[in-house]
Amino acid sequence: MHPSSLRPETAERLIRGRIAPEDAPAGFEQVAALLHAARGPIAPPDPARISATVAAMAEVVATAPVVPSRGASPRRSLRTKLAAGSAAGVLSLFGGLAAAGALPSAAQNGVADAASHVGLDLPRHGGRHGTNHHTGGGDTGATSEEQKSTGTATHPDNHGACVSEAAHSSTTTSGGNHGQAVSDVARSDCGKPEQATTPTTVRGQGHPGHQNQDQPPDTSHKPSSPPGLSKQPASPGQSGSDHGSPSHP
Amino acid sequence: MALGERFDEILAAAQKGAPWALEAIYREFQPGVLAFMRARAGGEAEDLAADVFVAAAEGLPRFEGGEAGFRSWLYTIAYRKVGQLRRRQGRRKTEPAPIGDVVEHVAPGDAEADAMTALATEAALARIAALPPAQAEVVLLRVVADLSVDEVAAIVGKRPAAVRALQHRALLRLARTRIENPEDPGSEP
Repeated sequence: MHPSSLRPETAERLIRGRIAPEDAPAGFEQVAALLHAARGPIAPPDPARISATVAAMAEVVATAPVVPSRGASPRRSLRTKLAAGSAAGVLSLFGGLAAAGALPSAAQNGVADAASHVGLDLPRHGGRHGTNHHTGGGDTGATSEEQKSTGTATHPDNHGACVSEAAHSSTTTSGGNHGQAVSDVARSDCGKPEQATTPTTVRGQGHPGHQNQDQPPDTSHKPSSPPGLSKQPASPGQSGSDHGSPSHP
Repeated sequence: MALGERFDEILAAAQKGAPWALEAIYREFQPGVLAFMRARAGGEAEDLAADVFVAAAEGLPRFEGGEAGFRSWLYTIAYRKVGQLRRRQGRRKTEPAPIGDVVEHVAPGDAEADAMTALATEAALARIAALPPAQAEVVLLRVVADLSVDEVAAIVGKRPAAVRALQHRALLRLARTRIENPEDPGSEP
């Protein structure tokens, strides 16, 4: 019989050595014998090769990492994620505050300097504020001299600093005139910004300087965003509708 | 023969680098791996078989599983070693070790009967090695390594049905070849 066909289950039994050569189907007796021989013992390696290979194995095992990498990797990954998350949170916080110009002068300038290295143009305390951040410009109303003397040109307490400076000044006024002078300064717009930029005022209480505060954002009225700031995550007081809207009539 | 119930103990000791345990593993699995390599890698079989065990030692501390899983893992390494050898050698056909070399591998002092048995084994491996590569690998992994269809399928990256088809065609081919060349165990089909 020519071995042209073989039932699958018979083939499986042949492969597994479950059919003795004498019991194999016609034409497959020698195949069964061949497979039986293939399972037979092979000449063992010489002792020198055994020793050399086992020594190499022992050396490799000794230098292999004992702790499974599966367990260690997630822990390192978690620590990395926590650190990265913390750093991102700090950057977001200070970036948002810096973008709003709400940081103390030293911090504001420091953050602005750092941000400038990555292409972000954040406002500074000093002469450059208002020229980058708001297209309307001049929103603080503080003179450059006041900004230099107080260092808080964009801070809401600028007016207080101005009054305080007048109160402590004894060179120009004296006696009853001094009180009057201080009072005049207090009533004046010295140190006051032309528009309040605190978020709560803009959003919650309304501000006379804002015409669109209770209206849906109108993109036609949006100030142009400073370079890079559009990439910052939105934060209170930083949305296009309520932050830095020009109030010039 | 298998390590059986002692496998877990031996594996645990081997994972800590105990030489006696590593040697036990080597002695248990080396003949099959060498047979596989002898059929697939020809004259480089001895060195490649040793490479398989050294490579296995690298992953040994992290291995988890029983003896069957270990055997399958070991032959996965062996299969990949053969693939690497083939890539190094291009598409050159691997040549089984000459039958005359078998005498060199017979340990001194073996009885003539053992030598003849080893010779028969070598001859049988040579016959299987002469099959088309995919068929030869499937038959070797199933017969020499004593792996299941599913285990072989996982190693060679084929579906179990494809493995069954390959082994079926291999048996038919071996049968025809034996009939056509009954006196020549190492003849090409």
